[in-house]
Amino acid sequence: MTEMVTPGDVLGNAAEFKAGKGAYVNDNTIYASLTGSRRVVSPLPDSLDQRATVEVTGHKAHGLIPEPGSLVLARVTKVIARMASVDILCVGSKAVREKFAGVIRQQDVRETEIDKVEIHQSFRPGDIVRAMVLSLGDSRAYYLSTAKNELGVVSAESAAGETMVPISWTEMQCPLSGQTEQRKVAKVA
Amino acid sequence: MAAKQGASTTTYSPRIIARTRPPIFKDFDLDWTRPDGRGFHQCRPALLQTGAVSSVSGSAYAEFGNTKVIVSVFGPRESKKATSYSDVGRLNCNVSYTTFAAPALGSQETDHKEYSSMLHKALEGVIMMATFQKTTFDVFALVLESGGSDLPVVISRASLALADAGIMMYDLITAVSVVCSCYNNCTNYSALSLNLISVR
Repeated sequence: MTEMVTPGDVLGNAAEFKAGKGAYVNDNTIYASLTGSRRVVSPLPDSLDQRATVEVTGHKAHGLIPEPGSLVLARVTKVIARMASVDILCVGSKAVREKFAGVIRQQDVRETEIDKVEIHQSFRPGDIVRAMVLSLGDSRAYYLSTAKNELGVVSAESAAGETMVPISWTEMQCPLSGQTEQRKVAKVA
Repeated sequence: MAAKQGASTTTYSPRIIARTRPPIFKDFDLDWTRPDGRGFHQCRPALLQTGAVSSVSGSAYAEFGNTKVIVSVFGPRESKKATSYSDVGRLNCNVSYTTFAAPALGSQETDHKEYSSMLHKALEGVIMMATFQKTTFDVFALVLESGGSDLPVVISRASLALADAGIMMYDLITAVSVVCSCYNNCTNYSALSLNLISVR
């Protein structure tokens, strides 16, 4: 069912459908709130509410902001005593148009021994990091966390300027000079 | 209530539906031609287009006869660091005229603060602010040529541009300006009431 809808179009009756993403309910009728195509998702067989979900999938990847629980790719800009400032570049698999500020605090770098974390040995400016959004944070930055095996530094440049190769969860090696540098490395499955 | 997108530039007249109320305008009113040669029931040829500007999140361009307006939407982007934390999204509107928009402008200031605040009031009721917490949308409207009815065109184009940008809204906005006018000789003073209005 690829029917184009615009905000305010009637998608269905609240008695037959549930409002999914891009739809809202007003007075027993479901209206669209995004521009895109109307899609009906059938309900799970064991759910209590057996109504199908109607949603609108956007025709362009717009309006992307970091939400709590989403995975983001960010570049480290500043490393200070108890936190690392990052610029969020991608949310999920889509790049954002303008970067958002994020911060990884010392206690969110890893799961174990969080008070003994050395930020300078986990991240350096210029590293590309995969993190998860913890919360909206404060007015200046989103709070991010790399406290999982698959989160952490994905790509980093050595002092010599070469892209480093990960050799363990805490070390990366430069292929040119052979020097190892300490990072909180992400486990790439 | 979907807006027309990419309509052809032909003049159209709305259908006259048979009403039970007595018509507001008498027969001799309908002979009146407007200054630009249109009949009483004729609308201006319209052109509406979205995605006119490629580098922004959403944009809409409209031509209604001589009124040409382009609206660009930037966002969602981070609020400035100086502003406080906000649970709901923020909206900044700016309506400006080019210096060549109307013959009378020229050296007048190009930012129209009154229209900007009216655009803000119109848009803030229709956008779901709670869906983009902590971020800001900037709406910039530029009137390239002012042929009358500028603010309604700006408001309806702004809602199209926001829909193009993928921001969640309750509905698309349409706007119209009405003018209370009196033509011929005003011997009938009841003509000055709101019964005699024309829609541009």
